[in-house]
Amino acid sequence: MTVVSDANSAAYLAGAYVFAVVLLVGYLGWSLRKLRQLERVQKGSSISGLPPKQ
Amino acid sequence: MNPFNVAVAVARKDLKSEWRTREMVPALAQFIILALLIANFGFQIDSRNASSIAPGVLWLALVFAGLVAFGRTFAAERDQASLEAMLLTPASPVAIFAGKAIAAALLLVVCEAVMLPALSLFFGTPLGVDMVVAVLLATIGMAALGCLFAALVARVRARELLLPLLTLPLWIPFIIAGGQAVQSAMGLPGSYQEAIGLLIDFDILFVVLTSLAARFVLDE
Amino acid sequence: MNRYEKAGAGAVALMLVAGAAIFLYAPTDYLQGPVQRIFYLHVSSAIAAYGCFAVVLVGGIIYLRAENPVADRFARAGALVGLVFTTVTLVMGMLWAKPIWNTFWTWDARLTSTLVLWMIYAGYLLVRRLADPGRQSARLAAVVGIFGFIDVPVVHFSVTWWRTVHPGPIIVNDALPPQMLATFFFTLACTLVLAGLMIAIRYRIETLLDAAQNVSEPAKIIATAREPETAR
Repeated sequence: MTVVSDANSAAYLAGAYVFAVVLLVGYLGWSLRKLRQLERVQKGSSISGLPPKQ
Repeated sequence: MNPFNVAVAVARKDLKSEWRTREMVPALAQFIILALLIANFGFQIDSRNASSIAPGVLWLALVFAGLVAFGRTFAAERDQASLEAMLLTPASPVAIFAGKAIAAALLLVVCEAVMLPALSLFFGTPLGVDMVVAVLLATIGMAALGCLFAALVARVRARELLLPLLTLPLWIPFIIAGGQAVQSAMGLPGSYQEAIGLLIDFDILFVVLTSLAARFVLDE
Repeated sequence: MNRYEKAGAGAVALMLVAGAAIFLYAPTDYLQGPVQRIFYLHVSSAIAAYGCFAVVLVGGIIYLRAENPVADRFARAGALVGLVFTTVTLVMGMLWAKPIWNTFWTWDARLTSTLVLWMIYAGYLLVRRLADPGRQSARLAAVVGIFGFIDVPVVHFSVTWWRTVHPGPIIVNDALPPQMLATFFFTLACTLVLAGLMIAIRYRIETLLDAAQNVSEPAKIIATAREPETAR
């Protein structure tokens, strides 16, 4: 049922997986980095009432 | 307090205050006529395509009029903080919600009473009981959902932005089924009975759900 | 590397193994050719997304009944991660549609309801951002999450019904040979692991964000009851 040639077909396949990998790994990396930033802020905070880092 | 009486009382209050000010219905009616006008130019309506485009125009106009109407549903209560006062009474929040939804639905019905004849006039589409029933059934469910989300965003600063975003996805099933019903009523292929059956199912589902949610939404 | 980062590396490694299965182990589809391999991650992402939105649903229900902030944080996490996976599903689906149906988009039940899904949870995140933070935002969002979760199958069903009246260009080969099935289930498992980890990370982020906000608004600490911060 493919309408386009095999070469183009492979391009769409590659494009789809590249997009997925970039988005998923990118999001994972971004959220891990954000987590690090927040943990650092919390560790460095001298305001009492915050729990000790676990 | 009998919840049915409460609902009727709240609905009457809303309708009376609209009757006194007479601001919403004329504005919405004018809006609908303008929408039909724009559709005519946007779609290049002629006698051949009118019947296939008319259902879409009907729903678009109804949806946008509905958003305007529901955006204003809780405006008066918010301005005068009377919602809190109402909730302090022993009246059930669901009954209050039902009253407001009924009033908003009736306002929408008045708009439809303007729109359907206008649509028939401008687009040459037939206007029969089938059409009216389809539109009325869709209005019930759309009013329940519109009213719930209007209550939800009533106290949020960006309510004009949020109301369409939240309400439109939930209105889609009504537009799909209602659109099909209206198309069948206009003579296009499709099953009218099935579409009406779906509308009734959706009405039941969403009226029940919104009633359950009303308790949490109004109960601040 | 903290433990989340180690887990992240593990999850990525798992996905790489799944990738190997997808490209090396699974056979090429006879009808659709190599493009059909998109199916494995595309459908797995859709299922992962719906799982995330189930978390939003349950979190929202628990929050409405018990005002439990943990439930609310899980709901927030689920919505964001679910939106990421829905985006993957949509884009992969469009890139699959073009070579097969010669169009990037078609209003069939699956694409339409996935788009509606995306809109609903994008709306959910917007509500959280635009409403007053804290109780108002959490309650509003809980209701949006609950209605959104119900709306998607309703839309899917409506479009399927509508499609029987107005058929579209859908030709899907539903019978899967065992190798494809195995690849799919393995990919699904890896994807769910990844999604679960992303939710856990986001939950931790939301917990820290809540704590930071509470410190900067002492009046709220006095006014509202708080759960003990050391509870996890």
